[in-house]
Amino acid sequence: MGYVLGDAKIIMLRFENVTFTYKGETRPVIKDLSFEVEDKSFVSIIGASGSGKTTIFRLLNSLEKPDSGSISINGNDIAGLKNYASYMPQQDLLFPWRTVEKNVMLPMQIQKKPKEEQIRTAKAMLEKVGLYEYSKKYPRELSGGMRQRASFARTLCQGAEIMLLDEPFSALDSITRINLQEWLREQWESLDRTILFITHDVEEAVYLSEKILILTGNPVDNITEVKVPLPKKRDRKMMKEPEIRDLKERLVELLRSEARE
Amino acid sequence: MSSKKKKAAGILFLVFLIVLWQIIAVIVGRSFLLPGPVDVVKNLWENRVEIFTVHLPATLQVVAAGGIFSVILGFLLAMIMDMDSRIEKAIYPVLTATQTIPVMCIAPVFVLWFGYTVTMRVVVVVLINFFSVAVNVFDGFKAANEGRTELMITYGASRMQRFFMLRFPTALPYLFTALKVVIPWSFVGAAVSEWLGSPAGLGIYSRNCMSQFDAAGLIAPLLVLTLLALILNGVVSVVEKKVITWKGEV
Repeated sequence: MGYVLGDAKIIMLRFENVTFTYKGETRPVIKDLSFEVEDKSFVSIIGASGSGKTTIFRLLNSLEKPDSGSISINGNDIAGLKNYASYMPQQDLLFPWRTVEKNVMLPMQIQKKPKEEQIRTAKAMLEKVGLYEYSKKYPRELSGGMRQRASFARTLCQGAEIMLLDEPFSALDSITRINLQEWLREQWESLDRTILFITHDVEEAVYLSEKILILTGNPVDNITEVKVPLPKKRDRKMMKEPEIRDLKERLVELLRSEARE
Repeated sequence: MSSKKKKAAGILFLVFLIVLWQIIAVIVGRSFLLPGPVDVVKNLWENRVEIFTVHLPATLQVVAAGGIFSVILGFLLAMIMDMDSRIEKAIYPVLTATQTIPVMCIAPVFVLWFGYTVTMRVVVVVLINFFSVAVNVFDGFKAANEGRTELMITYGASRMQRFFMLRFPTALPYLFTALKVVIPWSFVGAAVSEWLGSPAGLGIYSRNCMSQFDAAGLIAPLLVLTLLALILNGVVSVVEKKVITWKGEV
């Protein structure tokens, strides 16, 4: 389980001097970037559009390989690992020909888990996200918010300790979005997993996370870390406290100055 | 307009055409030149035993074998092209070339190779059909959503798993589209190949009627083929609706 540093925090994910350039490009998107994510924490990455947020996830998912530097999970380089992270994409990407239950089982089918285990885990996860009675329905019979919850259940079924959520609520209407944010906080509290959450929405990042990583520079070469001064049990009212309002303003200002550059 | 009304309008138009055909045939008054629908049906009834017990089974055999082989060959070619873009670049132009040759011109070569056999006729049907299956199914494979592909990669899916769990289901609607082309063209192909020469079949029956200036006899078997193709396509459409419940959602 990870490795312990001097101040006894356990590091789940570590980016170390990572530089990355997309194929056919000469300018890197990410340059000499380093950051860490603690075990069992909820961390958001924010940055202006095109700031390299998604690139970081692509690197984490091994969909791209860094030019130099290393990415490690629990102290092991991801180059030699499989199923080390559970990825939840921006769109739900549920398979329309599969029922909700079969969609949720997909990662386990790929990992060739025993059939009974697949059924049992899928049932437990669907119960957890409140979709058990929709097990036999098809994605088109679900609302946008329910589809994202199904997608979250599928992500859980992959079973990795770190979950990578890529703007999962960005396509939803604002009410559904707020409900799902609160829901996600509750899920995380009961899950015992690390969540790395990408968003471009400052309000969302502050409400959800314990720590916010702000990508700066073009190419991204620096990450500013901000701790969110909110307790573990939080509610919407706390978002109006002066300290939080100041933090949000500071973050917005930071993102705007980045976008102008 | 509701779908029932649309259907009724379609049937009414068909009836109108048939009546018009009959009227013109009566006006022309020479059934060896333009037989009316009544003449055709009468002819069909008079020759029903020969048409339905000798010629129809012979043609259906070619349609079925040719259709099935076309789908198998087309599907396999699509799979091979999907494996590697270099294979696609090598095969695709050759496939296209096979389609630029008029079948009626190349078919006599098959007669030389295989004689007036079922094999010859099946080969003609396959040549007419396999391309549309290959191209449609190949497009279907390529339509597999990039995001879903990458998601499966993050789950650690192998190429095989990606094929069977994503690419194949994505291509299924395209396969049905191909089937709806293959069915009528299998009938056309079978009839054309029989015209070249065949011991039995609706195509050769139709040709023999022509040589006897029996225009109603020429049209009667073709009517049977058309109706059968329409019925089969209808069956495929029903199956498609049952299987592809997600049409347009990919």
